[in-house]
Amino acid sequence: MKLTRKRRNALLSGAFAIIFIMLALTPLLPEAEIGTRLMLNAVGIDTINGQVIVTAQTLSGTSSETVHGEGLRVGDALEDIAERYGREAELGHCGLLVFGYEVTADDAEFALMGLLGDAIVNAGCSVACASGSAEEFINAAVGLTSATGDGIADYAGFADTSTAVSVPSALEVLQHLKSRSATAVLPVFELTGNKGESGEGSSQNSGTDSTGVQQSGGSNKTEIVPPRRAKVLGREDFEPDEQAVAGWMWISERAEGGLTETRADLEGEEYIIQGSVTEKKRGVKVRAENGRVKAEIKLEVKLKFIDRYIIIERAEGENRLRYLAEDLEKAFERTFTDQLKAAAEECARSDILGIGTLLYRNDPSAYAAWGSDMSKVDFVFDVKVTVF
Amino acid sequence: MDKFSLRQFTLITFLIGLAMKMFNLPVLMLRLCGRDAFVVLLIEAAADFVLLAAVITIIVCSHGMTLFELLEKAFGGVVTRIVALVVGLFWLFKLFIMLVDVRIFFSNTVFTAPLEAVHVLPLIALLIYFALKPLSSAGRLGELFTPAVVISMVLLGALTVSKVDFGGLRPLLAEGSEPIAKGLSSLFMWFGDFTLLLMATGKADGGKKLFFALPAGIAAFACMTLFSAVLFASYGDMPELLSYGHSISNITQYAVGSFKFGRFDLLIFAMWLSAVFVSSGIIAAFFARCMNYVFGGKVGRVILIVGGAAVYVATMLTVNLNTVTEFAMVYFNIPAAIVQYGLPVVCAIALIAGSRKKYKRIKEKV
Repeated sequence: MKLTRKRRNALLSGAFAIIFIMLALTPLLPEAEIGTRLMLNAVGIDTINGQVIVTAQTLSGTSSETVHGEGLRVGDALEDIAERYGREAELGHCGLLVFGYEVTADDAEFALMGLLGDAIVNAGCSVACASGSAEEFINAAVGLTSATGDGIADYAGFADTSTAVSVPSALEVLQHLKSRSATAVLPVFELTGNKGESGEGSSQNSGTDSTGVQQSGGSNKTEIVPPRRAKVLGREDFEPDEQAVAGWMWISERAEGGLTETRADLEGEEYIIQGSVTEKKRGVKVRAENGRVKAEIKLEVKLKFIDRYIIIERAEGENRLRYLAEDLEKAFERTFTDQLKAAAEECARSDILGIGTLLYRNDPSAYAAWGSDMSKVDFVFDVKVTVF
Repeated sequence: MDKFSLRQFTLITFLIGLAMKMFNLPVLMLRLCGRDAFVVLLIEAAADFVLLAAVITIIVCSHGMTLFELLEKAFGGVVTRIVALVVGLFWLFKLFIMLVDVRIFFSNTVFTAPLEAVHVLPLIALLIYFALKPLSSAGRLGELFTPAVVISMVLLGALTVSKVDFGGLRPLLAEGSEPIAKGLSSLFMWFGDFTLLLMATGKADGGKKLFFALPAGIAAFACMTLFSAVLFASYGDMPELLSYGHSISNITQYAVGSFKFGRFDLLIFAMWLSAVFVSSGIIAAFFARCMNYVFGGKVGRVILIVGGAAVYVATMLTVNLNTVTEFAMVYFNIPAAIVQYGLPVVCAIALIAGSRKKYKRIKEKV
C-alpha cells in the first residue's frame, strides 16, 4: 500500500510525538535510579577537627535508615558513603541540610559552595542547625519521623510554613553569607529527651544503626521542638537571645505568620494575651544621611487573639471592646518593637538584618564610606498592629 | 512549498530569539560582567530588536526577490558567491558552537559522562535532512513546537519568579562602565540570530504584516530577560558558583520545595530544547542554501553533507568544551559581529542600489 503524503506526515508526527513524550517523561520514571542510588532525604553535616562527618537519612518507599560518611569535604564524605554502602548518594530529593551546632560561617559557606556549585543538592533545599551534633539530630529524628512515613525534611517543611519559623533555603543561606552583610541566620531545631513510655515513632527504627549509635527506642521519649532559637553565622558566630530571634523572624520574608504574646494592662489588671499573626507586611529601607546610615524597619501585622474570651468578658455590657482593642494593639506594638530593637542590637555583632547589603544595593559609594561600622546606624521602627 | 506563511514566520522569529541564548549565555554574561550583565543583556536585546526590524524591512521591500537574487542584482554573481560562502561557513561554525553549548549543558545537567557519539550523530543526520526540506517544513515544525516552548516558559516562570529577590540585581554600574564594555565586546556570537531570517527574503507571505513578528521578538526577549534576571539576581554575589552548562532551566531548582516534585527542570528543558532544534535546523538550512547557491545542485548537497560531517567530527574531537566557548568569545567575536550585523546592511545597500538601477532604467525609457 502506498502511503499518501498526508498519511506519511501524520505517521511521522505521531512517531515524533511518542519520542517526545518518552523523553519528557524520563525524569518522572526514576525507578532505575532509585535502585542504584541511595536517595538521601535529610543530610546532617558536622565539622570536627577539619574533618566533615555526614550523617544522612535515606528514603526508599516507606522504609528509612541512617548512613554515615567522612572526608575532608562534603563531597568526599558522600563518596565515602558510596564506598561504604555500595551505592552512590543522590541528593536531588534532599529537602533538609542540618549543620551541627558548632558550625561556623566558613564551614557552612564551604559546604554549601561544594553542594550547590556541583549541583549536588537542590538550591531550594532547607537549611537548619541542630542544638547538638547533626549526627545526633539525624539519628534521633529518623526514628521520630519515620513512624509517620515522612522524612525529616517534611517536618522541617511543615515547621517552615505552619509555625513562626523561617527555615532558609541553601541558596538563601549562601546568598546571605556571600552578600555585603556576610551573615546568615539558621533556625535551631532542638531535641528534647523526656522520661516516659516508648514513643511509637522511635519503635520504628529502634536498635543500633550501622555505626553503632543507639537509637531512641526504650523508655526515653525524644521530641523535636519547633525552633524558637537561631544561630547566627557571620563576622561572629553566636546565638542571639529569644527576643532578637523573634525580631529577626518577624522581619524575615519567609516567616509568614506565627504566635506571639504580650503583657497588657487592662484597667489596672495585667493579662498575658496571646495572638496569632495572620498577615504580615515587612520592609527594611536603608539610606545614607549626613555621614550616618538610617535604617527604617517597618512591620505591619494583622493579629487574631487566641484568648478572645478574656477580652470579650472584659468588654461585656460596657461597649468598650474597641477601646480595649486599641490598648491591646499598643501593647502588641510595644512587644514587636522591643523584639525588633533586640534584633537590631545584635547587628553590632553580625549584620542579621542585612543593613550592609541593602545600603550597598542603594548606594555603593555610601556603603564604601560607611565601612560596615554598625555604630553609625540609626534604627527607626515603625510597627503597626491591627487586632481582630 | 519553499515559503513561510505569516504565522510560521512569526513563530520562527520567537523560537530563534530564544534558542541559542538559553544555554550558556546567561552564565557567560554573569561571569564576565557580574550584575552588570543585566545592562549588557538589555543593550544587546535592543540591538537585536533593531536587527529584527531591519531584516523584516528588507524582506518586505525585496519585492519577491530571494536573498541571493537581491545581492546578485546589485553586486553581481562573483561578489554574491563570496558573500554566500563566508556567511554559510560562519553559520556552520555557529552551529558547531550551538552543539558545543548543548553538549556542555547535557554533560553538566543530565549525564554524568559527556555525550557520546551516538547522541550527536542522529541529530546531525536529522539537521542535514532538515536542510534539504523546503522552508514550509521548518515553519510547520515551528508551529508544532512553539506551544511546548511557551508552556515550558510559563512553568519556569511559575516555579521560580515569585521566590526571587530581584533586589539582588542592584547595584548596577557599581564598577563603572568597564564590565559593560567587556560584555558588549565579547558576546556577539550569542546574539544576532535574526540575520537567519534573511533566508525568508522573497519566501515569506504576508507583505507588511510580517512586522507582526516584532512582538514575537519582544516576547522572546522578555522571556530571556526575565529568566536571566532571576539568575543574575540570585548569583550576583557569587558568579563563581556557576559553571558553563548551568542554563536557564536550572533555575527551577531555586523553587522552594522543588525537592518534592524532583527534577522538574528536566521536563521543562525537554520542551524548550525543541526551540533549539528548530533554530539549529534553520541554521543548517541557511548553510545548505548558501552552499547550493555557491556550488550549485549536487555539489551543494555534497558540501552540505561534508559540512555536517565536519561539525560532527569537530564536536566529537572537542575534549575541553569550555575552551571552545572562550575561543568563540575571543577570536570569533568580531567576525560574528561583522557577518550577523553586516549582512542586513549589505542587503539594505543592495536594495537601494537595485532601486536606483530600476529608476535609471525607467528614466532612460522615458
